[in-house]
Amino acid sequence: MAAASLLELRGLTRRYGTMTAVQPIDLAIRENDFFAILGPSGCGKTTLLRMIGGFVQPSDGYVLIGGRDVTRLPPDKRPTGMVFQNYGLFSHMTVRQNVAYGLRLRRRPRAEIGAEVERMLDLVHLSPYADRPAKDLSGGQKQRVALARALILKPKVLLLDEPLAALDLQLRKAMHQELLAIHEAIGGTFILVSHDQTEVMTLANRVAVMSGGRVAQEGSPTEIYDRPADPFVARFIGDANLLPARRTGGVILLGDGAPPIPSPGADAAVDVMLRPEALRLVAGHGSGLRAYIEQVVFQGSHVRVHCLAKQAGGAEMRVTATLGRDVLPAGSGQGAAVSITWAEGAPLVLPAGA
Amino acid sequence: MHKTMTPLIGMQALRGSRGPTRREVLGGMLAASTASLGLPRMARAADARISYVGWEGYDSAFTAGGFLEQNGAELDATYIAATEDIITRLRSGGMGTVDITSFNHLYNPLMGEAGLIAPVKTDQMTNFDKLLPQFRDMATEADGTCYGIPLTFSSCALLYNPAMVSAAPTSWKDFLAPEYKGKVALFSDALTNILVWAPVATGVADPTRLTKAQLDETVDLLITLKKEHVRAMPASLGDGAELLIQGEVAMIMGWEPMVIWCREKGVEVSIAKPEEGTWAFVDTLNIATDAPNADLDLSLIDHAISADAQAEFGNANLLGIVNAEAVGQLSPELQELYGFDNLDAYFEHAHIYPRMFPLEPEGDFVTYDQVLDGYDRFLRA
Amino acid sequence: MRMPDAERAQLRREGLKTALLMAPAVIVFIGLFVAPLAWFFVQSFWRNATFRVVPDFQFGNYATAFRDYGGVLLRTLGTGLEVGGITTVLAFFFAYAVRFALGRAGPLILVIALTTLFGGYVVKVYAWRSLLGLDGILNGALMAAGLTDAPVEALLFNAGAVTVTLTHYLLPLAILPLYGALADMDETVIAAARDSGASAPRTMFDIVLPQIRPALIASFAMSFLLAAGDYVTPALVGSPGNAMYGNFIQSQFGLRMNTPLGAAMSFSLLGCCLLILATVWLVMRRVLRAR
Repeated sequence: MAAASLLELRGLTRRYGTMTAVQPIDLAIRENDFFAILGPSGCGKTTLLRMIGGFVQPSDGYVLIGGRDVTRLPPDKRPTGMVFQNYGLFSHMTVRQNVAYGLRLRRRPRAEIGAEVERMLDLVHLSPYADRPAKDLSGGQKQRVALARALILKPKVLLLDEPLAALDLQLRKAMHQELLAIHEAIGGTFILVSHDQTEVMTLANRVAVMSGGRVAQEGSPTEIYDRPADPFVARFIGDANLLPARRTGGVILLGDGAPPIPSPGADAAVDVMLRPEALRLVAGHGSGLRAYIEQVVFQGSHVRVHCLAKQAGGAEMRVTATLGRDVLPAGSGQGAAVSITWAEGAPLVLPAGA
Repeated sequence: MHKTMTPLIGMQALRGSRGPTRREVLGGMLAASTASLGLPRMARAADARISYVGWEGYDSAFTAGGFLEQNGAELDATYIAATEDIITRLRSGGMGTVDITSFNHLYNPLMGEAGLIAPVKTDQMTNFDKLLPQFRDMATEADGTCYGIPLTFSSCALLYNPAMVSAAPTSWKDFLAPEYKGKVALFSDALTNILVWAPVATGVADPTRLTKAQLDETVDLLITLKKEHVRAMPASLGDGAELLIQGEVAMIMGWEPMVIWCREKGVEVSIAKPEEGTWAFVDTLNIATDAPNADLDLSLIDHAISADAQAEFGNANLLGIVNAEAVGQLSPELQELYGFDNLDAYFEHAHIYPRMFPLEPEGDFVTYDQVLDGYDRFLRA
Repeated sequence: MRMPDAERAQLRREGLKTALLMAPAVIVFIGLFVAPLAWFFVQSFWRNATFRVVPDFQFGNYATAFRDYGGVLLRTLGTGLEVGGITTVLAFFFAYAVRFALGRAGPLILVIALTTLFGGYVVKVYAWRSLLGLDGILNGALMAAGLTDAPVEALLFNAGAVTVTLTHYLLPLAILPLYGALADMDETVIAAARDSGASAPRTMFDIVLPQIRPALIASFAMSFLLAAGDYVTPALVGSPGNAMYGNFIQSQFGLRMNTPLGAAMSFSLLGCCLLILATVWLVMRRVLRAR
């Protein structure tokens, strides 16, 4: 894998005074990856991206692109292109001038620039707006100009810094499709920074989840969803029930009626992760974790059912299940007794944590 | 913005025959700005409001001794930056509202003939006879009518720093000596420069009566001076004193009070008596035509030349005074500065000229406008 | 579709309200600005006689303004251009450093700079005189350093001293619009330009300067106009031959009592200044255009 990687970060670190924004990070990103860096705000993801782009000098470590050390190069000397969250359009220029700017700096022949710009505007569906002043566009249009402006230079690595954060939900969804189509059409390595897990799941083929300046987990979206490395990742990616329990003699008992979960290892406190959509409810207290319905929340295509159950130790815990509307057991109003069941292999045992 | 807010502390002093008071130069920028905006000072209600348009500082002769209070009067003072300001004020609706002005005596006959100021009834004044003889005679010398009562005198003195010259200057021509190249200063007032340098350039006795050739000669000399000898043309008299204090110049066309200003800054300068003499400034008080309080105005002027008011005025402004009885009350420093022990000698050196340049063509003599054109030529050169 | 009467009446009321609200401003503008200016413009074609002006229509005053005072006019405009140019460039670098290079200390430095730079105009002039004078601090330092053994006279009372003094006076006025424009500018735009492959100087010319062009013109216009209209500084620190056009205008209105010529000279200076500003505007638009 190392041989195929296009971008390599080695011990990349950034400190501000005594505060460390980015802990030493090692990452390898392969050619043609749509790589996402996901994390809550303040986790250091934007700083990491800016170090790759050359806008922030690392305190330590290296950035290698195609095997070449670019750590000390200014942005204009790096084979990277950036799409900024607030676009950064040249407001005194037209759409066309914005897109053409990089090529003009490279002194390409006029005809070639014209053709390339047309191609790019076409790609982002902005041809009709080519000669409008950039400042007169809507948010979504501006973001597409920014994309075209970065893409026209055929960067080896395209850096996307929360590019869609300022757009409304509908527009964002549409842009997701366009981004995918563009990645499909022109290839190249995209690195997306986002705090939106849906966006990351939709777009990326590889994800690094960041927390507190370090990479908590790296993998494909399904790996991260299905096998989160710790409770933080589990909670950050999708919904998760994290049920506190204890492993005793290689077995975990969640509570009354729950089937024992085999878990090799020393006796310890653990968190058992169960995704809400992996749970089924059966009316009455039969086989399965015994619980009472606390609240049913209608969510359109599905319902969320919040239940209260008892831990093995006797303390109460809340368990949430997501069900299709039609699979909700009859008579399951508030206070109804239910049994919660899951498929064997659904529970994931994580070390107890935050 | 600074055009109106902080004007010309300097220029203020340059026009007319007089410089700023010390207050103005050393601290009174606010006062200066009010003055040049022409705003009257605030005053409380009173039976009579006497409107004075003239130099700042001169009103101390009015306010001395409680005369105003005793007569239920208050003073509205509008300070000027140039003598011409008085004319502008009177011409633009001032007549009928302005009481007292302070023209240089040169202007008096012209202003009287132009109907801007009214004759002064000297026989109704109690202090007129106490004036020093030079001023008593002068008040009526132009055409027999008195248009202004002298208030104060001083002159354009050649000041030098003894530490910076090899010998005391004896002539204005010493300004042209190679030794003092770049170490002399003129002050930039039209009337003063022409009246002082015309006798130097042409030997004329009355420089207010110049032929065109004499004027050109005078201006040419001034241009030579400016281009080749003068370090600076200070924008105000206070500024000129600064040049002496800071050692920028050795000699300057100056003014008697500068001697004391310099002394206060620890620099001793002397007054030379150039053989060509110099011009004596005599400022007078006049009653404007149609003055609203004409009778009170006359009493107030009479008060201003009384011995006590004169002494207070002289000591406050460091200026020469006109009342013989007040001389003894002046500080010894001032008595010496203006040579009160031999005033005839003072005025033999510092000439009092009877009237201004002609305003309309008069024989071969150049008009005031031509003189000012000549002075502009000097400034432009 | 016809508008209902009630609605139309409402619109009319709105229009009237707007007119009433604007009236004081319009009256003040016309009364204090347009009317006096128009009055002086009319007078600039009149003739001057002793102590009074005579209505007329002739261009003699304008002929005099350019013929007799043409040299002074050129020198005045030259000083204005020089001071305006230097001030604008310095102000730009200062504002740029405060905005982008000095980080969190920037605003503090701006405040310190502005409070020290603002201040009495005449006070500043005198401050420079004592700095540049024969026994001034600069000469003192030069002599202490052994660079000269006698004070240098060439520091004060010349055109250079005028430029230095006026630049110092105008700097804060020029900084403010530039800093305002730069503060509004998105740093991302600069980052985007660098990312597109522009070097730092290129970014300055292609992106930063065009985007703040109105502020550049405002700063230049302000310093140019104030410098070209100034006549106090040259009188205080300039060489005796440095009289500015403003000195002669002042003299026409005061000493000469020649309002017509003073007005004509004022309008001549105003016209030349506007011409220069228009030229500068056109040149800036050409040089700092989007490419």
